[in-house]
Amino acid sequence: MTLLRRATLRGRRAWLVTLVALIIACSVGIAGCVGQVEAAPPEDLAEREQQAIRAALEKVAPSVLQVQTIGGSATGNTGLGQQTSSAVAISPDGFLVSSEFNFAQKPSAILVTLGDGTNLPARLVATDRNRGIVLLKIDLPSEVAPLSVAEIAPRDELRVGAWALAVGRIYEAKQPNVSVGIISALDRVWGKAVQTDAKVSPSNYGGPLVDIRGRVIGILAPLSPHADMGMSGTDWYDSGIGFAVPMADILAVVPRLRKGQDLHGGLLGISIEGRDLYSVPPKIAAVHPRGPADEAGLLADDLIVAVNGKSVENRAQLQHVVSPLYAGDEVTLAVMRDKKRVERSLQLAEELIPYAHPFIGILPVRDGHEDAAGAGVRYVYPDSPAAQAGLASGDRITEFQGTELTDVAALRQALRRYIPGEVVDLSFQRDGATKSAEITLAALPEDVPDDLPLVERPAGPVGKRPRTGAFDLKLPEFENECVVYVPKNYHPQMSHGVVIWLTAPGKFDKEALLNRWKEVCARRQLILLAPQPRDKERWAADELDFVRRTYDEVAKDYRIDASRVVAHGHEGGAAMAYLVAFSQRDVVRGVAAVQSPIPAVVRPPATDPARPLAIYVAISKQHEYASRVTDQIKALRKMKYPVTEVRFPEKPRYLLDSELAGLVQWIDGLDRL
Amino acid sequence: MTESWRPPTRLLRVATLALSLWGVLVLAPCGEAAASRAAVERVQPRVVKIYGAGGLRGLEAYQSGVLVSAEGHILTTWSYVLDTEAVTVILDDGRKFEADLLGADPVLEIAVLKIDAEDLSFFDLAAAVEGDTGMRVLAFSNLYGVATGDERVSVQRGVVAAVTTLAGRQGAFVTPYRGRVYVVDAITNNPGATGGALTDIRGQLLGILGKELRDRRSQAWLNYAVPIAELREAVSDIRAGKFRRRDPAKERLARNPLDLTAFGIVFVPNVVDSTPAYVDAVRPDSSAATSGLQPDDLVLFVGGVLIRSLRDLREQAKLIEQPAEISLIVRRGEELKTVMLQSTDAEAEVGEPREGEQP
Repeated sequence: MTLLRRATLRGRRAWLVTLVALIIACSVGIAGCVGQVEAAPPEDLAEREQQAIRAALEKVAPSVLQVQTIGGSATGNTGLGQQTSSAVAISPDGFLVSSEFNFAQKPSAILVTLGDGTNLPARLVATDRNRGIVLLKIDLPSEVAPLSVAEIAPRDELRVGAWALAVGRIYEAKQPNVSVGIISALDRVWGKAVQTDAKVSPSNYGGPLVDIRGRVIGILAPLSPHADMGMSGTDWYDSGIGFAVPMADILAVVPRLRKGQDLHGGLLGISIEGRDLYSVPPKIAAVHPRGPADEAGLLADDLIVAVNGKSVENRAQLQHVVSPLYAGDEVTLAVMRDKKRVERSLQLAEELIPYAHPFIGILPVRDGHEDAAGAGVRYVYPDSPAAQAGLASGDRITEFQGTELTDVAALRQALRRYIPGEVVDLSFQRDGATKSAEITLAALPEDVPDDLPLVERPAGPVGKRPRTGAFDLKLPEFENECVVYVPKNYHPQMSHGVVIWLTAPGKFDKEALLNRWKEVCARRQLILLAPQPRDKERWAADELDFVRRTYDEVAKDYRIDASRVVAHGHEGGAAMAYLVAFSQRDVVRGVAAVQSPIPAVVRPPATDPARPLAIYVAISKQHEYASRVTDQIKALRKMKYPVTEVRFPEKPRYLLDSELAGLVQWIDGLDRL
Repeated sequence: MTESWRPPTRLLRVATLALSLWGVLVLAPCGEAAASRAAVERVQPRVVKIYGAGGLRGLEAYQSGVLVSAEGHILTTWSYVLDTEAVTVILDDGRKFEADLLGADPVLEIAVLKIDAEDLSFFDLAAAVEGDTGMRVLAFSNLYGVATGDERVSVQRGVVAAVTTLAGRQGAFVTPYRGRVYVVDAITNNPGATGGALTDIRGQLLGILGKELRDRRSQAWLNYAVPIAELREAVSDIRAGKFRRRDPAKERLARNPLDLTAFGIVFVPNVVDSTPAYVDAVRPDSSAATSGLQPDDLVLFVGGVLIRSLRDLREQAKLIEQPAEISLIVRRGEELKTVMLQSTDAEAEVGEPREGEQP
């Protein structure tokens, strides 16, 4: 009622309210519609709708500015960064906000074009990496009028189903461009974004999402709830799903950004068990040594039950509370430990001190027999801590730091709490006698041993075994093809590593591939998996799902050695291998990339105590990105990834047989401890 | 690296469809569908389906067209589909005709077909209207060839997202047409849609749907239509039998392309594709030196054209005639400076030699 009266008072808005009322009536159902048609002829409604869109656009237009970026490091057609983009004025004296995406290539110059065509140089003041927003500043000369600042739509007035216009200014400096839709959802992307079905794309990233009154709801940005390693959400464009970061959230951090302070998402420093977001309770799999959780006294196996007083039952809920927060923010975690509730407060970290996995210096006996407890030693690395302590193959490690070990997995898990340089005690059995040793843990080796012993085959009959040899794996929901090779001597009691071969685009040759791997697979208990891209000429990022599914299929039917799952690729396939390895960390333990840098859009994640990942890089010195690869290796080592490096003097090519043998040794050693 | 990240997965497409269906169900039944009905009735008989060559390797053998005369002149897109003796046109009432190709304009990428018919409904191109940003529009086309048999073409709705020129997006699109377009906020430019009609909500013709076009840099598809005003003259020329063929690439090239080094500027070496146009040195006693240009200045505009890199400058220069004088906007520190360069080398110029200058 009050709404109606206000409408009559303010004549200009009256039709708008009628329109909104009409739309609501329509939304209610067709029955409600019949009555309304009488009141306003339908042609009239469409015209009014058009007027409303134009009025909203006109109102917000002066505060939407065009941005040009010049130079920068973007190379290749990664779709990263663009040269003409949009920004929104938030202060009359020249502060603007835009999407981080538009500046990802670190341009050498930024220009802001005003509606009248005036160009002004701009500088990037600071970036909010958690929400993908940048703050820009232009200095207004005295003859230029102050910027007009858009009205903000109050958050409590946002309704799902209400009109939303995505506005940018990339085609013409004089005229904004618009896409019309509705608000599809609130609190998306872990509570950081409003979702719309207006088309959000490079044509409006950095521009505003506005309501039908021309008030700014938020800033359009290529967000994605799955963007956990720097992969932006640009692949969602034209999909009916677009996001805007609410203006209120941005304005809340502008004072910090104005000081030139970059903001980052906050890290707890824990790994959660499993990868399922919804069905598994958030139990801590590992605590990152010296990370915030570690320093606050949280332990592996603690079950998180509440964050900041809000109870959480799965990983998704945990992420919903933590993800909107920034590094430096305080968080209180409540966990269940031994049936008691424990509360700990901590400060979220911007980054974790990189975790280096420790190394004793052994290869454990695989597929240990259930009757013998502990971890059998299959091989001792020369000059390793284990070698120095006198361990030898055939020994059996039975205790670690005073705790009895049930099996190899127990030793593997216990080691996650330690880092290189720390001293540990272990007991081992040799010829029936128990010995003990004190060991100073080392870092994982990057050199590949010349020869590792073959694994003994179990005695007795093999029994029934699943399909062996080369066969095609077809998943009905994907167009892609996939070849699997299971060695003829596959033994169901021997665990097999998996080599996920990602072909160089346009170069898939099944016969050559099988010739290369057949014998190796039989000798070293490996299964070869060769998923192929849909389009023979290129891999697409969305094919990750397919690659993962082929692995899941194979893992269902065969005994897989979880420590030896490797993504291996050549050229574009190697870029894909990085993507697979960094995104499927719950299964992939090694990535072997031949002749490719890590794609520019991919940011390697921090090392994870519970999910080690070793990296093997083979690159030609003549490769066009050889120096970039050198930089990347340096960065990966700084992040404490073990990187094995192979360089060729000649032109870029795939591995020769002798080099492939080295790669196979590398894979065979991935279950090292 | 030869990878390109291909946008959306099938799943997302399905999600889109679900969302748009929701939109149709919830929002449409009352106002909009009814509003569009009269327009649809008006437009449908004026849009035709065209079948011709193609059908191999993802090239569809069909497109769309609009009737522009009562006696069967059809305006459509010039494409491989018309590259056959047997082009078939199907009217909205299911009647089927063999069409003759009267002529084409390869720059505008349009063709005019003629079928042997009379008393057809048609769009009078002289009466076509202009669109502007935010205008509600309807698109009519044979997209995806889903309108089989004698079914009518599909209708989509959207708004005009922007009015712009393709040339303004330098090098982003591979197309001979560089004129004005309506960018449409709807996924209108699908296979088979090209040649279809874009109209306002009253069914008045605005433009002809363009080919599928992808931004090379952002990988985003562009949905657009070419305004009738851009096509009118060409259509009447073709109908009048006037021969039209121009080579767009040649036509734009300058006879004596711009060369900034002639003004005394030495640029930094072009190391990578995106090396910005930084001034490395200024030759003493040159026009550049006189103008106050300094080493480390970043050249941003040449004669009003934004220059993003040395490569860009090289490309742009091919289209600009070497002038007697030209203005540059450069960034120096945090400021933009405008400098005028005047030719000192009279021989190469159109201008008269000035007093005291060496030829």
